[in-house]
Amino acid sequence: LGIRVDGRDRLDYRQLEIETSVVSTANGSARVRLDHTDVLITVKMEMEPPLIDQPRNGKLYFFVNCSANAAPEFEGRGGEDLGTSLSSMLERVYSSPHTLDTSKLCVVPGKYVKGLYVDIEILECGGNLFDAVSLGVKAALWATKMPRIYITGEDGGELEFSVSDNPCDVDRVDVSNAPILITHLRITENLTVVDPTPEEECCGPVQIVVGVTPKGLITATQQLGSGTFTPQTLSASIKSARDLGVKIHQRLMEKLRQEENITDRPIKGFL
Amino acid sequence: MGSRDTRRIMGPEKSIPYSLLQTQEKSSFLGEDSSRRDARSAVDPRKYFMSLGVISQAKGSSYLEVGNTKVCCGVYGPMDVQRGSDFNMSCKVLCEVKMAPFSCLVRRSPQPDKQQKEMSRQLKDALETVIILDKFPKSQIDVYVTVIEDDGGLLAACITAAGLALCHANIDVYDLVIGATVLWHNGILYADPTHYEEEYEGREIRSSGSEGGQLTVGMMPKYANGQVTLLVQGGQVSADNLCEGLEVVVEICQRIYNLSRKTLVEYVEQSLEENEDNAS
Repeated sequence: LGIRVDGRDRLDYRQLEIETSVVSTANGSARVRLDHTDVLITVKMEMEPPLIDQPRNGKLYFFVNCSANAAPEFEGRGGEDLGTSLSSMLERVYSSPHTLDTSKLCVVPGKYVKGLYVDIEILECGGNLFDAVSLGVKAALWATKMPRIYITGEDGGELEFSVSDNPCDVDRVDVSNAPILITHLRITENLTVVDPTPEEECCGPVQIVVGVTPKGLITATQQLGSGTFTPQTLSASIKSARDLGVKIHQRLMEKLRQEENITDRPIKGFL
Repeated sequence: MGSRDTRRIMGPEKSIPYSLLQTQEKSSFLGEDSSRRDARSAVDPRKYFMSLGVISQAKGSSYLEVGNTKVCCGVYGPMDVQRGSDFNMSCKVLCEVKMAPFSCLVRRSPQPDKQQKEMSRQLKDALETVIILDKFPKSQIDVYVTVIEDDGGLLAACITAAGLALCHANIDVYDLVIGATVLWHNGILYADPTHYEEEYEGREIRSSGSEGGQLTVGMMPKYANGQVTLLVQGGQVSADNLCEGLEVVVEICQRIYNLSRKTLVEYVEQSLEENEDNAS
């Protein structure tokens, strides 16, 4: 018939809601709701010594916590596998120098750089986690406001810093090339669907997650699950993911900018 | 951070590899005469060496050399699941990729780090596809891969070694699974990159428009006209280039497949001859 159980087309997404700055204790945060999938992403900044072989680059850490609230199989250590694959995927995507310029996160080369700790909390799992999380990470990084750090002097070899109190004197993270992930689930030989619901995920054994940058380039693709793809299906999925991805990027940035421009925005949060 | 390893004597915590203190010379991707550093053309894969039955205790085992990358795989099973309470109609696959501490230029810790865990998980996904799991209910198959030297194309070598070992272990599989890697650099596709090439590409600072990346594919070349069981891509590549790279990798896998089959057949012939000699 060509339509799915909930009336969607093969390449249609479900309703997506994103809200940023929901958590006041973090430098940046975002909450993404994709129908029943609910994820909360926070970004906190800390100062720390850099890696020895990269003295001028900041660091990015991803931690995923699948709480037992999200799905019954996550109880105890059940969610660990999913969490590690999600965080490894994100680390791979954000580790290359062109995604996020980590040299901008440098404070004192060789001594102190900014480490951004991105904590992802899966509140409810309603299918298609990778997409929701990647959208949220991009939104949260966009909304991250890091107070500017000034070096005020040197006191016996130790540098002194002063952190700006001014809420407008902040550094932002440049997410113009940050990718988002698009999941294709393979149902039959040549048919893939985008944004699967949990019921659909049970029907198909294998997914391909494609990372798409705003310019339409593909980063960090991975096949997940125990199932196979034919090379033709793969090519078709990658191409359609790219087209979708570019469109989603545009809309996302549009909405994020709009959201920022609303002065005195009442934060809806969890109500 | 991480669990403290109390069984081994670890080096001092503050030790750093000496290579960081050496002066960094200006390095380039290609050699002097714009060919690759090991005198291959852009689409030549490296020399392969495969051998079976290297671990006598294991049900099946294989040793694979791709250029300088050396990988050894042992397969144990199908055996009973440890905890009898897990009743499963299909087989459980346990996969572990371990990199020896001396396998890279910088010494690796004996404890599995994130990269090894990630490779183990990816290999497990690929092998669960390949093994006919329904034939072994309530059982478990253990696949252990040891990396002796890492010179690029590691995940692909692990997949190929595991595929050979599974066949050697007489475990029912849909097809022999083969892995291959390609790399994009400055718009040119290079087959079967070395570690140096992979590192170089990974460190390259790119603007948001330029391309460069890496693709590793594991596939079953003959089953159902070629099925891809594992795909991992990194870097930043356009979709068309990626699809083109996919075709190149499929072709490379086909070539390695023929070589693997030959190895397996030769091994069987050899063992038949030995049995005959022993019998007479």
